[in-house]
Amino acid sequence: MKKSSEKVAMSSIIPRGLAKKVRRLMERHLSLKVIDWLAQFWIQTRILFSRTLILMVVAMFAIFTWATIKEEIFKEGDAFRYLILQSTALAILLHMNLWETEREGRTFELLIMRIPGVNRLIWFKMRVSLLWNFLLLLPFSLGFMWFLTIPLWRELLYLLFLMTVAVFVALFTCVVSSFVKRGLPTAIIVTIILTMISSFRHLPAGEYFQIFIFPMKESLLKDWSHKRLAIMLIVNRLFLLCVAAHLYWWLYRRLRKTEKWIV
Amino acid sequence: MHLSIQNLSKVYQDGKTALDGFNWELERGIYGLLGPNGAGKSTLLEILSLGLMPTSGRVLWDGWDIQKKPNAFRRILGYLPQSYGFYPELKTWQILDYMGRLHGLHGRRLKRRIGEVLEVMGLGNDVKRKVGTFSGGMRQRLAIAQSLLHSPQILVIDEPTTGLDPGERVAFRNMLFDLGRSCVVLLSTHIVKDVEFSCHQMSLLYDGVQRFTGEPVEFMKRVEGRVFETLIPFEGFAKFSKEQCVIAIQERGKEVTVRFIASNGVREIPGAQPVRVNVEDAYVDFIRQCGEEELLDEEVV
Repeated sequence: MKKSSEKVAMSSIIPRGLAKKVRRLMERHLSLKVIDWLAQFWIQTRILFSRTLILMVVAMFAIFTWATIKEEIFKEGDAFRYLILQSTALAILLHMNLWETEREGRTFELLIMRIPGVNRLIWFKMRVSLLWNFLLLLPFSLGFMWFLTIPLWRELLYLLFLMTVAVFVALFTCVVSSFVKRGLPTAIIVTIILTMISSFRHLPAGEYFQIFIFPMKESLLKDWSHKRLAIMLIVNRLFLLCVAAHLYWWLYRRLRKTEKWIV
Repeated sequence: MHLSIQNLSKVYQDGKTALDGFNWELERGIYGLLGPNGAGKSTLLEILSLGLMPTSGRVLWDGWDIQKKPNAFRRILGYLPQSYGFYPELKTWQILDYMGRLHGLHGRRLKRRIGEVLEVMGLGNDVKRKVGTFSGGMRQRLAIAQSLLHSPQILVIDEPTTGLDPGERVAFRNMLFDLGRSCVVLLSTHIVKDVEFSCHQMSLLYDGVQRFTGEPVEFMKRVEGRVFETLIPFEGFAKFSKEQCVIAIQERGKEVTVRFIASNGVREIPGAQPVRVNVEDAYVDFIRQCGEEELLDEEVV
């Protein structure tokens, strides 16, 4: 028994005393609420990032880095396309096992005793995964901003669009995983359906329903008035918001149905 | 510290009555809930842990309705469901820290409580061990530890000793005894011995109906003087088991020692020695009687 605990301590990549020191320092200087949030964020992160997921995220970053160098991206539109792909891929990876981990680990019941209500449970789980979605988007986003000298306001607009897409894909992945119950098939099904959804742009007035739209598309900027473009973008995001709200409601019902103890 | 379960019923959407007019008054101590599979035990515990809404009836804690103040009740309730799990990659203290914070504990109080519950559960030396490396008994103790973190006044435990080895079961019962001195412990189990050795009151459910409530000693009275042991030849056992309610058999060469319950009214059987009864004898007799009643009902219909 002693041997195994020594092994665990040795396998940690954080120096022994450092974690303790940081913890003490935080407890001295931060409020209880902040410490609570950080502690929960840290544990949720540990639960979210299994070794497999870490490897997949690293592999995804390697592929995107390689592709970015190979393609020699100079245009904002191309950069945005890369970012939207990355945002989608991250949302799928981070959410394909989000609920399965709790279901398979049978930890749902212990959680629900402390987090009453499905809404709070969804918020509790998804706030961490979506925050990681955002944080992992930043390196490439800021990189493109630096190399392509994208103005800050446009960068923020892109991030807003990227995150709305991430929320939609995350909710969609969660709904699919509630039926499929396995991470990899969930990811495959979601990818296929999203590929189909992306072809909406070919429909008449497809810009209004195109979830993966580039807000600063050159052809639109050239042909459309600013007012028309602004209305289109607002309608487009409102449409996405409605779809996301519907997906949320669907997930809520699925969680209630799947786990009969959630009343 | 008083839990009052009043006329509690639960009818599921498919029309099945899982619980029918259950009543029980509980104060500090250990209470056992017995019954076969599908008797309604888990339904009752789920209502008590606010996981299910009753169709009718109410549950009062010190006079107030728990359904009307669910969050207040959650703060004083410790619940260990039948099926639960932990994140195997996390260490013992991380699990307890996580669960404690979710319960609203912070800082020094949380640290102190983690230390206390680990000490009570005998997990003090395993604070830094990953939960994935725990044995069944240790996981069970950790599960209890997490349910005790917020110092609950009522502890609801669903089948806690399933899968534990005899040593761990005895240790668990001793631990329950300590807990029962400071709070209301409601224990649902299949293992009759756990009720006999640790509970001062028990209730028996069958098909959603409360069939007995009282002390285990009182329950044993139903078979007092009717439990015997006898030695019979091996060949005669098949015939014997058809005539009597056999509880235990032990092979001894060409003969078998049989422990059995004689039919109602029979106080003496030639060649058989009366033995000391236990709750298991009474429980088996009770289940048999329920089965016979059901058969009788079907015949009448």
